[in-house]
Amino acid sequence: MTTTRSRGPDHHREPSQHLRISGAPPERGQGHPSFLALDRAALGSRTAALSRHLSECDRCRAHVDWIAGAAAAPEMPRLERVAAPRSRPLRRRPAMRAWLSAATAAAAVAVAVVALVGRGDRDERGASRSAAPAAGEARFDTSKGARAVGVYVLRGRRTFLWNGSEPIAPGDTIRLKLVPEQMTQVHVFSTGGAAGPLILLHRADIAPDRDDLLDTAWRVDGAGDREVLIVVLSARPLSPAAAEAAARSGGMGDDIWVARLVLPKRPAGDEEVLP
Amino acid sequence: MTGLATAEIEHTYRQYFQIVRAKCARMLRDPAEAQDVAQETFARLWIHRADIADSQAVTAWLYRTSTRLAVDSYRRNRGREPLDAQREDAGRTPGAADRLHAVRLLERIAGRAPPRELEVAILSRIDELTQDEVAEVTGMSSRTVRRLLSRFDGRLARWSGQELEQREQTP
Repeated sequence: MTTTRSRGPDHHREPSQHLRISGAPPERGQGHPSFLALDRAALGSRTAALSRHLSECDRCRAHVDWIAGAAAAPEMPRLERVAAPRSRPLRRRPAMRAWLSAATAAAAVAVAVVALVGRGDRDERGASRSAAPAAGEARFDTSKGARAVGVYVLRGRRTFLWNGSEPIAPGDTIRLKLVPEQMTQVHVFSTGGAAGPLILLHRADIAPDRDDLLDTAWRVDGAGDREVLIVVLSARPLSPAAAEAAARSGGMGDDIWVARLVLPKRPAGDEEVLP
Repeated sequence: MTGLATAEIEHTYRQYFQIVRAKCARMLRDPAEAQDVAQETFARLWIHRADIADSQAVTAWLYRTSTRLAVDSYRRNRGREPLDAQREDAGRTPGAADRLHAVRLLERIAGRAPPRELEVAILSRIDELTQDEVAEVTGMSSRTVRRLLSRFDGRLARWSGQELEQREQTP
């Protein structure tokens, strides 16, 4: 695949009316609306003046039609499938860099996150992790090059990365981000207790070579004093039963990796200052 | 826990992703990087969507977030080898080529300008927003936007002068 993509019609001026990097934007004197105004027009928000302009300006109308038409496309790829193949195979994507940078910074100040790794996991060199148990059942690590699960928590108007011990609260929305490192499938289970039934929350194929923000999220309810999520990554397709068995045993090998996340929960109405 | 419908995510994606992708393609000359930033922007939209109730607010949020991610990209790539200019220019229309030139200048000056200046410069000079629109998107006052653009123009003029002097001194 080449790196050339369709960008839609170019919304700009004649060659003689070059964009200037300094000074007043040239289009203001030409009466063209901004890209923001055109994008909003494509979403259905337009003033009478803008409608009039669009009826007279082919280029602006083409931009609006292109955006609107693309938005109405019958088949849009999944979020995690839209990224073009890397043009430079060894280069990490910004999303990954941001993720790892966030994790590193967070570890430094002891408020952000996390990568949560499974019990007994070892890094690529075979050395034991200096993982500090949290919530009694999960271990934490922020080293690069390892499989990991991060937890985004959306609370009110703020989003933060779970630090491995911060209680979540009823009404929070949580979402998982994976660093699969060659694993190709994920199962996410929930359980109310060690002996309770496992509930399959999510199952999906994942790209083995990039981080993956799951396209499913969960809202925390007021039941119980914790949420337990078990993430099973596998290098081959697993049946739900096989994945559940792996989740229960916690056993890991070259082709299966398990992380058990125990998120303590605050009672409803127990307000707390955000980290 | 209650699952949020994938259909809801898909709907949001269908509605806005093309806008984000087009904007990132305007701001970044590396198509793969533009795609990455677009995806990251959308991921953040997903995380924050509960805060955003209407399309006006969503588009402002998308412009602000993707612009800030692009600024990060400019500053991160300061020392990067320039892409093949011919490959970059291939297939671009005259207007897009002009924007590409502007992006190259922004990248080169990224290390000398504060992020807020770069942010308003992108919105004004690449996305061609009015100053009031820049103020809406960034949450700054129109006065602040004007001041930042003025500073940016002065900085660019000084930088251009220095570049010219260096070229003249080079045998």
